[in-house]
Amino acid sequence: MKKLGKLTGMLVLSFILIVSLAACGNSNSASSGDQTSTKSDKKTTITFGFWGTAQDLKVYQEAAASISQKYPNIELKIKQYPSSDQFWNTLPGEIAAGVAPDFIKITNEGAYEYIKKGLFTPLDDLIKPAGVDMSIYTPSVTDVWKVDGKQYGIPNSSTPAMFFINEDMWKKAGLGAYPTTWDEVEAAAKKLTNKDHYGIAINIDAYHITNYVKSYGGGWGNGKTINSDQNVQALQKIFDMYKEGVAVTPKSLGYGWDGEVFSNKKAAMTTGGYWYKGFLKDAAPDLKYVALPVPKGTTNGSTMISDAYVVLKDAKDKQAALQAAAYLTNEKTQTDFIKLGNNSAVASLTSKFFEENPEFKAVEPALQYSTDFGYPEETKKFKDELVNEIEASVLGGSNKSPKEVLDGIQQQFK
Amino acid sequence: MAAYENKVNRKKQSWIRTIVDSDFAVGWLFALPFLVLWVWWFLYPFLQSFIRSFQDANFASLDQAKFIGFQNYVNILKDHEFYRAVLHSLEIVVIAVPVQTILGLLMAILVNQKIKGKGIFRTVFFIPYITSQIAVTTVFMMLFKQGTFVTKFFGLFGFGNVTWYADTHYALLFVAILFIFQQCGFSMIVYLSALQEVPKDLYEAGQMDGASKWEQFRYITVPYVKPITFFVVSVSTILGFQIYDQIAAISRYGALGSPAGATNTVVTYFYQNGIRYMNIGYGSAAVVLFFFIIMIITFLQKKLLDDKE
Repeated sequence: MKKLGKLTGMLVLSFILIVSLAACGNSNSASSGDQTSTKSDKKTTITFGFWGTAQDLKVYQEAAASISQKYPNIELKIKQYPSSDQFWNTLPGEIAAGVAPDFIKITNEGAYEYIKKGLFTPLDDLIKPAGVDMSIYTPSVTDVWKVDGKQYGIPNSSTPAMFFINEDMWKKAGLGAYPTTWDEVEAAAKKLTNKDHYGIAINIDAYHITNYVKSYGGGWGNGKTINSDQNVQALQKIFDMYKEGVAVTPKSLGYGWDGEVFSNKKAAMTTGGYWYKGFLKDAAPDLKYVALPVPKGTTNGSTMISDAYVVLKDAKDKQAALQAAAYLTNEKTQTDFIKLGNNSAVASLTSKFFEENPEFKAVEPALQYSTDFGYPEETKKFKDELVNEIEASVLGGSNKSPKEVLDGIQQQFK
Repeated sequence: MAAYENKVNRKKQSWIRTIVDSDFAVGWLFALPFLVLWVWWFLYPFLQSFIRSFQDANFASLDQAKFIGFQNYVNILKDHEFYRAVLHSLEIVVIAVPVQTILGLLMAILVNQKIKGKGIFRTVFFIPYITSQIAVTTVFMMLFKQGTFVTKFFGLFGFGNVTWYADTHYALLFVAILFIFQQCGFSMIVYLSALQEVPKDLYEAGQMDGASKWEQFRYITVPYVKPITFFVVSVSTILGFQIYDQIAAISRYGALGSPAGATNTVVTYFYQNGIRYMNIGYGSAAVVLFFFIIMIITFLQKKLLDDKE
């Protein structure tokens, strides 16, 4: 009898375990109840995913609260990812598992790979039925989100890359006018380097390298022109500054990224972007800086950072997702973002950006010539290879020339 | 009719009784919860990976996966980065496992002595093992930055005053040191439990025979804890091969396995290809190869350490 009790106990325990596991696996079907209820209310629930700051979240929450004024049939739910790493690493798994948001905000730095892998919906056939007016956006920014003639994103913002200089260090070194070419930057970096700080931070990261490359008239050409002469010339300039001991990569100093090096006054100059404003406000409120366009190598050139709303391929209601995405570019939401340092992709609001952010005024001309990143289809792999090869030369002493580095990478992305 | 039914019921009862009385069935039922979890969390994913390893499969569009035979394996074996990753994993294991095993044993002997505050020592030695790997790595990253007292101290022994995890020559050693620091506590606890089982009269007999402390350690302690040594070495080897969090933390702002791939191991190679580049077929093939590498090494360890005498 005792043994029978033991056996029954074991069976009950096993049953509970199996039921709990089954319950874990059924989370989707449980949550689908939510959809049914929204259907009965004749409302479509659209989920929007992004990564960004708490301030961004607040702006989106306000937009979600007011969306019913324009689209009474849409309920917008916001899903914030804790970091860009989390966002990029989680998204493919969520798409595979069918639990990804309906639409997301994504930057053009990583979008091309996802577009080519068919993860986003081409919007051309949806734009008209959804009643979205694409003519309100700056045409050059809208074009950033066109691949093979198809529109993949509703542009949200666009800002050119920037070059930052620590004003106090610059003046202390007795330097005059701010540099407009990399040769001038190199000469200034020599004067600015001392025992306390380096002349320039060159973060060995694809974003920063690409800005050097663009300023020499080069580019990656979606993988076709990786080892072009212009790109080799740009990389040579980077290698030269490292060899002269006037440049430093954040990692060598134990920092995560260039902004930390700059805010800790370990480098007088660096390439960066509009996010410096918010970061420096908190990290180094006393630091005086100037923001300039990326210096010229042989021509004016830099990257255009744009983010846009893209509808995922498995979105439940693609048209409603597109309408919700377009709603996020309304004047009120965009004006809130301008105040946070983002330049709106809505053409009529661009002038407001420079009014609200006068420290970026010098960068305005770069809006005309800044272009997309042009990474190869296997973007992540390319960026990793680029970083690894340059790190091997700069930090590991592989002694490969810029041409050898780029030839080697080109071989892998024919 | 009633007699017939009684007969059938009796037969049924005796059938149930046979199962209940059978140790075999009860044994299986006790093992059932574990088996269910094992099948769910290990066997099923492993079989999935094994099947995927023969496919050209993209993580984001698994429905379009195509069977390509052994092509993924062929491609991996042609990739010099894979051999580099295997070499890095082996280097971590070869450096870290013997050091942490010996340190673990020495620490266990120390805290097994009749000394004051041995409870505090035990706790202090064990804390790194239960502390978050990312937290420990972050602290070590601060300690091993250029110009800190730690890098200056190592400079006395010929090491460069550089940020270790950013230098291609020191980054892998940095990962091995992290692993040793964290794993020692585990080895110590396991050895401590083994040391407390060594009969005191063996040492007394050794002393009476004039054995020195070293001889007692060499001929009594070491043989007695040999099964534990096998356990510690096996577990540490497997964990050493599986090291990931520390590498992910030091490459947080760059390519995984940075600087310049100096900390790229078999696990990061899998993660990079399978998850980051979404090539789950290729990544799965790397995992299957990795499984067999660990299996062979564990088998060899058992052969080397399993001395029946």
